[in-house]
Amino acid sequence: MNTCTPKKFLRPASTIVEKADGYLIEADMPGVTREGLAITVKDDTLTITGRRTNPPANARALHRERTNLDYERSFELGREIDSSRVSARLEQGVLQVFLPKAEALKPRRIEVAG
Amino acid sequence: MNLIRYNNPELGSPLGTFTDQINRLFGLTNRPAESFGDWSPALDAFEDKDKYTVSIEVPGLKKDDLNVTVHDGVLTISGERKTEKDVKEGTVHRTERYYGKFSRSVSLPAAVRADKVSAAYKDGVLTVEVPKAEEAKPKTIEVKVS
Repeated sequence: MNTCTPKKFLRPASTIVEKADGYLIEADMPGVTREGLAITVKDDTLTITGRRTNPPANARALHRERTNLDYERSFELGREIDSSRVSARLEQGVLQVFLPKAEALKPRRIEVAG
Repeated sequence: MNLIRYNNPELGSPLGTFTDQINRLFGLTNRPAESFGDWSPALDAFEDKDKYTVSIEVPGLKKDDLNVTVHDGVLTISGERKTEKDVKEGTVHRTERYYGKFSRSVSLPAAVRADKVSAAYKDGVLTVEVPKAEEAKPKTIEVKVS
């Protein structure tokens, strides 16, 4: 299908935190339910998308600051990420995606012999 | 008598700042939704035949960190978004999310049932419903043919 105008998305505000065993992405996606959420990893790119429910059709808008746009954002994954073990959870409009570091890259404590 | 804090547009929310300044330039200060605090969550207000619905995007809060009050015809939604433990424990590479206190106020029309206001927090959106008083609901008047 050909569309002339590309679909517009809202980029969810995100925080990226590095921990000893991986990276945690936290993205604000208020209004998105679990059913409206999609997380994909393709090649070295993690993409999160969130569909929101539209405002009531039979109501008259008095004041609007929220948008109806769906969310979409992509993150490039470094080689140290084990993309087969990515996990995610959604709680009160905040998506948390955990990207574990590959075993070989985790800090290891080396015992000193003798 | 209520004290109204002066909201400096230079220090206010990055969203809408330009509009605020234009409004100030032209003396248009009757903003429909006042905002105070560290951040200004996006707010919508809708009206249908029985009620007003105000929704505000406040992701990642606990129910106990949200306050909804109706006082002297003003609906105020306030709260605080606290930094998560996860964020404190690691090295932050990038942060775009807002934390801290917020407060948004909306003037309610006179004919509402302030005692019947209800609030629900779901998917990071707080929705407050304010029922209209009977006299404000649209009425159908029967036309008699004589």
